[in-house]
Amino acid sequence: MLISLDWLRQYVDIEEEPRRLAEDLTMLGLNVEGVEHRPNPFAPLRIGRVLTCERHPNADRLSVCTVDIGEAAPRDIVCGAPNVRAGQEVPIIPAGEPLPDGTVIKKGKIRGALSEGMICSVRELGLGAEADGIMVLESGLAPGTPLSALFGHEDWILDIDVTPNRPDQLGYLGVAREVAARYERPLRLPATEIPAAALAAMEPVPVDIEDPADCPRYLARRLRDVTVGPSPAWLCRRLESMGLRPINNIVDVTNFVLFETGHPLHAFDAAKLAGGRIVIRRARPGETTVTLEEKEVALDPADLVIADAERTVCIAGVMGGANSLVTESSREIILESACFHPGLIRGTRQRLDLTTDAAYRFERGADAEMADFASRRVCRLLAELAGARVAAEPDDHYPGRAAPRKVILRVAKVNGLMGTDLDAATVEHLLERLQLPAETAPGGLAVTVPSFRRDLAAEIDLIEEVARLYGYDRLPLENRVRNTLYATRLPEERLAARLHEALRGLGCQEVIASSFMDARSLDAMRLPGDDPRRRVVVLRNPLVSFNAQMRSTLLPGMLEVLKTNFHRGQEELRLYQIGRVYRRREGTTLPDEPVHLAVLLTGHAQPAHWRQPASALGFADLMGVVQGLQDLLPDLAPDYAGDEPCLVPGAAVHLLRGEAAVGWAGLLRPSLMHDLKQKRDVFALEMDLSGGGDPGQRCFAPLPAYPALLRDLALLVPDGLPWRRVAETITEAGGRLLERCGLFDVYRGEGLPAGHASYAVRLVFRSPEGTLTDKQADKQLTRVLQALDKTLQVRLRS
Amino acid sequence: MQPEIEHLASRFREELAGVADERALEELRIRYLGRKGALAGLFQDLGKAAAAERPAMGKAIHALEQVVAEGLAARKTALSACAEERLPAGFDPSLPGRRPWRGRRHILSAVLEEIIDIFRGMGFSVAEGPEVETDYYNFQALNFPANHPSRDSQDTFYVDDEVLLRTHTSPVQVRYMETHPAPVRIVAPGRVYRNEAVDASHAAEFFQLEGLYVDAGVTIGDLKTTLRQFAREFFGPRAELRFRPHFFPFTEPSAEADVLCFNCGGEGCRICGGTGWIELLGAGMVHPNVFRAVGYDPERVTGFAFGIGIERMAMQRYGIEDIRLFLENDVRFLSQF
Repeated sequence: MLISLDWLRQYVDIEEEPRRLAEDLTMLGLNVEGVEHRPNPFAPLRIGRVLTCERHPNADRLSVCTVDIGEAAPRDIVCGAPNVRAGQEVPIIPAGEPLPDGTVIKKGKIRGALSEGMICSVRELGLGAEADGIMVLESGLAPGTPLSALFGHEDWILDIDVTPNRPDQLGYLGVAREVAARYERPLRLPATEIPAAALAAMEPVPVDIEDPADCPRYLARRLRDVTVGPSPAWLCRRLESMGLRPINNIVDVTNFVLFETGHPLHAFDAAKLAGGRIVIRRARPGETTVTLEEKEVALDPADLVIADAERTVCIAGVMGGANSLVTESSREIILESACFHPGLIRGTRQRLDLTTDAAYRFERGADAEMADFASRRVCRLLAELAGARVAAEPDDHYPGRAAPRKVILRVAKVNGLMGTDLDAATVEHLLERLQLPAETAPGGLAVTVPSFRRDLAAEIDLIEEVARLYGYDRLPLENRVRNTLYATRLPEERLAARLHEALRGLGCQEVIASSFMDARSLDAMRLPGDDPRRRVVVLRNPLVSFNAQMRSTLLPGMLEVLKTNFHRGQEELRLYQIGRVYRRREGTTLPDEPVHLAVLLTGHAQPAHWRQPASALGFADLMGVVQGLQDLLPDLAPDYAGDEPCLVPGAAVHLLRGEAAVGWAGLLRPSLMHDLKQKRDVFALEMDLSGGGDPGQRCFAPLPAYPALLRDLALLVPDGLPWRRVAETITEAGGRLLERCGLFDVYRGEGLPAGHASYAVRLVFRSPEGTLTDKQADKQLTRVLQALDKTLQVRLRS
Repeated sequence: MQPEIEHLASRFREELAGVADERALEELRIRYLGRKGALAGLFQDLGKAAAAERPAMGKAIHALEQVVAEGLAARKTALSACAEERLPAGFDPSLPGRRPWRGRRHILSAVLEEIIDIFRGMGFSVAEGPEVETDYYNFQALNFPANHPSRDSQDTFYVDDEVLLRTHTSPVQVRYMETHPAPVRIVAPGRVYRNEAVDASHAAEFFQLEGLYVDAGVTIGDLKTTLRQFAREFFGPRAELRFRPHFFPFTEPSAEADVLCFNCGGEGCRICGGTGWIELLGAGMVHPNVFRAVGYDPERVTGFAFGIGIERMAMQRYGIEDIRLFLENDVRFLSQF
């Protein structure tokens, strides 16, 4: 809501600087989001006295004048007007300053004569159309006085963010009421008496409200003999300060009163109402109407309309119709001042996408009591400005009339919430300032809520009123947040914290990608139709149509991040994300939202460094991440038999926890990155974390007391035999004395039979009971070699 | 003979001092103690000497032999110690160090964690709730009437008529109070969604942290104290907050809290839009209707609630001017924190 301070001062005295006022209103709950200074457009002009006036030596029609504008020396000004004379008092624009329309007059020579400004005409000042000479003033003010002393005005515009609970703040009177309450100053209501001479007896307007619930009040007034014409300057100025273009006195007055009172009104041309009657009803099925913006709209039976005997003439509370519009030729009008059901107006406004000042107010709730006040105000102004004769009695249909609301306010409750110690008299006084009369009643103060504060329905609403007027900043600080409640951590929090730590340790950068997903990404992942990731949650009104789904897997978002970075030249990426995915579930309203972990690796295994060339990332680097996760989730195990549609076959494992498959890890199919210029290996994993992870208390293992014996072997292993089998065979045959078996080199090449590799393996033997002898270790070693030979046909490299 | 021995001794000391490495030392040893060395020569001379001189001379030669042996040994120890400390040729301590890939938290995740930690220190525990929510929990139970203008500020993504993406973390308040008796003191962090066009200061998905404390006798003063404590922990010990009245359907009295502009200190500048204050968060006292919806008795308990925008906090603290950077995940951005 824009508020012109110049206008607001009509209703309440304001001595405060505009910025101070803005600050005070903000602290009262009227958030002033902007303060705009609109200087008087006449401020740069000066009153001047023409001292001499001679004919221009080089031009017959020009005069060379010296003009006193209050400066040390008079200015030379060349003037083309025929009526300029010495001794005149005239408006001067000094060179370099702007005229009200923004034009800047430059200092210069006109036909060889210096001119340091301009003597202005009425037209140049925007004060009138005639321009057959300069404007001659008769103010008697001293030369040099700014012309703003005579014309124009300075203004400040406050931009107030009105919250939806305060429709009363959508009019000047409402804001003035807050200012009056804040500074404890009287409120001046605008005059609403209609001059007796303008009143006349007229036949009533027949009004028929089909459903009183839709329209609690409908007040119609007949005005006759109106002269439709332009509005006076003061009215135009008011509307222009709100950014409105004046139209004619009838429309302008209804708009003016809408802003003044916050109550929307509408004027019909009485001659255009069929049967001369008003019917408030729902639109008929299939009915259409043409709005005053000349737009045809289809109405719905949920829409409330104002109709005459035959057709809709106005979409109630939203916009008038073209068929009943007041025009230049209108002589008799019917003025509507009504109150409609807010939800109905909101529904129609949304359905028809018609945002108007009226609908904005009605959907927030209009004040039924204000209907009469606003109507009388319009009539008074039209009697004055349009020569209207006004019906002595309005046709007031008020089925929703209600006694003023009374709310009991307990002072103890006020203090209990505010942490204050106010007495009843103080609370009562604060309420009075807000025009909320209170009296002592059993149980507390009985507060009468005026009709303009529909938002005050319960005790808590009054407490807020007291608190905001008292001042939030004055409410004492307290600390009752004592440690009677201890903060605890959820298991999910603990797991997430440990995972973040582990993944940071693995050199991975956390990313947070969008929760939305391109509908096509699941196809790119080649997921079959029955894959659980196909159970997506689809939005009815997405921001962009292709991102209409909630992600059911983290991978597409991770790939987006990868591509963003690749396109910007970042090619060393080790990324992870912990976040929710969303999957529909049959039989429940809400989907599942399990937390997933995804990791994506591409580039090199180590940062490039002068000591060592960086090696490309390999599958083993991904499995290193899996091992890092196994530290936290000891039941996590890879299933090498698994395959995953989005992974390269053979370079894929499933991740199991117990029997349950919780995810996958592997080399992504290159087709997932087909839009990247350069092909690269991208390794990824994704797993569901909802299985939890707290591994519980681990048992301490005593440190070994006796030394170990090492045996290194070079084994000739045929291609296709997985290391896993070799390791299992060794571990099994090594018995309890074999502490560890580690692969420390793989060699392929010269000196080996084709299709074989040499695996260098170190076995560590140790006994918890005593120092092992070579003999004991070699005995176990022999068993290992025999088992390898027998079950796998793996022998030592000779 | 004696002067000759003494001369030899002093020559040895000079030569020993000139030895720079182990090879030279070995050569010196051979020259003195070798089979044809100087001392061997002296012992030969000893045989030829007069018998009366022999004992004194023998003693002097032995003394010299001992001096030479000790000198060589000491020098050898010194030289080998030197060799252990010797650095390879071309050693340059200013060459870049080596470290493995560095991992980091996402800035939002780190800020969220820090904020949770601040509230955890004040006795708030974390609670969670679904992001895909029902209209009931997101709106109705929070005192947003159906078809009411108060919903206009929360442009909503819908799945169907009843199911939507939560527009704030406040539904967690309702879910938590439904299942836990008072007193409760929680923070609920998480993602929320608004169906609005994305630009430098608006995101369609962002993070919030909801706070809720309900107990007997909780006042606005408690709310102010808690949030001031938070602001001082997060922005620094001189952070100043102000509370101004506002409207939220689910709190009353409601407030918006502003922090004194850290850039201009309240003078008014570009960052604070000339007002001297920066809008920080929304808060208020839990509305009695919310208590009624969850089965709490508003006559017995009061409480406060607040909602903090995590992106806004991070932007304020690090001077980030475009909210889109968070979701873009450019590693050059992420690696700055």
